[in-house]
Amino acid sequence: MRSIIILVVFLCLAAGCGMYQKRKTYRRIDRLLDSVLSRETIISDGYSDVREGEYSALVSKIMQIQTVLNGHAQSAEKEKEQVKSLVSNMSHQLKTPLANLSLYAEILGKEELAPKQRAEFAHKMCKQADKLSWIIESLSKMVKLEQNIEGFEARNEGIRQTILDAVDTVYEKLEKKEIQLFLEPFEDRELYHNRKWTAEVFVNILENAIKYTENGGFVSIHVRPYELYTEIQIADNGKGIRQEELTDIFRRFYRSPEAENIEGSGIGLYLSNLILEKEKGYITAASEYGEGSRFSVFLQNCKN
Amino acid sequence: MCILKLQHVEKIYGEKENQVKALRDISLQVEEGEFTAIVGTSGSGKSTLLNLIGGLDNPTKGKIFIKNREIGALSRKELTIFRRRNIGFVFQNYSLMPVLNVYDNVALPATFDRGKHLNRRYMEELLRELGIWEKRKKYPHELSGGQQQRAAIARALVNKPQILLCDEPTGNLDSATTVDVVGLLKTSCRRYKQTILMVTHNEAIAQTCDRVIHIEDGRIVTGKGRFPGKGGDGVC
Repeated sequence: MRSIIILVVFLCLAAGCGMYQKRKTYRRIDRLLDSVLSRETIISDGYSDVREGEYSALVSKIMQIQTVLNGHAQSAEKEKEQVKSLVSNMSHQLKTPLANLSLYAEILGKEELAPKQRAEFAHKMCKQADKLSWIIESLSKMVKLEQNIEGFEARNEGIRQTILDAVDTVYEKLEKKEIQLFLEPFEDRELYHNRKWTAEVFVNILENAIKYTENGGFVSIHVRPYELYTEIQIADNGKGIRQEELTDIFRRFYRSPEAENIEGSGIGLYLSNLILEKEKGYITAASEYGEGSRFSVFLQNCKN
Repeated sequence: MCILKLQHVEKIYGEKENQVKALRDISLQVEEGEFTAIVGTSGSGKSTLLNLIGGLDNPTKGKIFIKNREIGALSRKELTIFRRRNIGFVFQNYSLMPVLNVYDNVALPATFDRGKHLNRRYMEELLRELGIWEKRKKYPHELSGGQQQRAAIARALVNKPQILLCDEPTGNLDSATTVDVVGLLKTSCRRYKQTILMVTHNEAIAQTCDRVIHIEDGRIVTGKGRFPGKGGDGVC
């Protein structure tokens, strides 16, 4: 009888103790979360994050979340600045061709112009209009990037059709510059990607290759399988990229000082990189200055 | 944001006549989310630098800050815990436990803090991501080099550390396997905005990084675009 009473008392004590501990832990966590909510930075002095135990692990994790969030906020701020400067840059670029257009229109309006001169000015007007349409195009590309890039879905699809789609898009430009395209025969493979967006990546790289390669040059595409990834390599014999710029070219709005006079917005490769990031792939570049460049896109093989 | 800061770090091995200055007056900063390669010839001090940053060794002079905390000021025990929660390590020789299978090897660092509360969903996701889910019951000696290194990467990532230190992660691998390993490092680390420091002497790999730091004779060389040592054939 007595032993039963002792047992009951003991059990009650244990339960009470447990509840007390639970409340205490709860209060500690609550206090911690309160300071997170009031946007205080959790500093390591008050709450040790380098002690053994679950509470300390929790503190460490919260500190990590805070730094990540701060990083996000900072990069968002930076992005905003960049977009601002790009918009002002673009509008500046819009001004010149517009002014030229209205000037040419005025000249053409005069009647005493010889037919030969007239044709010349018409040609000039066409050129300016092309420039304008190109600027608009790259602006819309940027908008695309801001809006839908989060939304697309990747799945396992054959890569051949994607590559062919991209080649189809740039075919005219290839013809125009008389650049030879060499597509090495390969076996079609199922890769994890989104056809539309990945074709955009290839188009970007191919367009660059065409843009920076002299008339009569060549562009080649190779596909090489590895255990987890498949490499799609696009090589050209164009002007190449300087060693020290190789990591910069994937930055947003980066333009090589040498390419200042060539049309470009510094969005293409950044966009490509972002798309591949979403598809769990990646892109690398290798180049010999003056000899040509090689861009390699790596996509994940289909996992069964 | 600056996640790692080194101030005038020096490391000297040996005493008096046998002194070897492995590192001399190294100062550098690494921003959060950067993928940095450290290149240099063998004996230039790059591995020493990585070991100091990882808290595996103490600098003779100078201070190292990780997330604004001076790691030299922590006690041994605190340092161990700090390292476990904030830093992941990948070595050239994989350093997997030979008596544990892949799953247990990867789970090992996670069990220190949480005991039995292992996040199995995350474990599966991680192993699938790295392509070793089918091999999870195998022991290290039954795997290829690339698979072992992938298991080692999974182990380094299991605690979601903010910094990943890789010491010649592809040093023992052929060029085809290197593609896989570097790709996984690149892709799996973007998720948690991890910062990676990778020691390598492969020029082709270094070029895929956001930033390249060159070390010669224990000093940082500031010349841009120079790659000592022989590189691969551009596979990466």
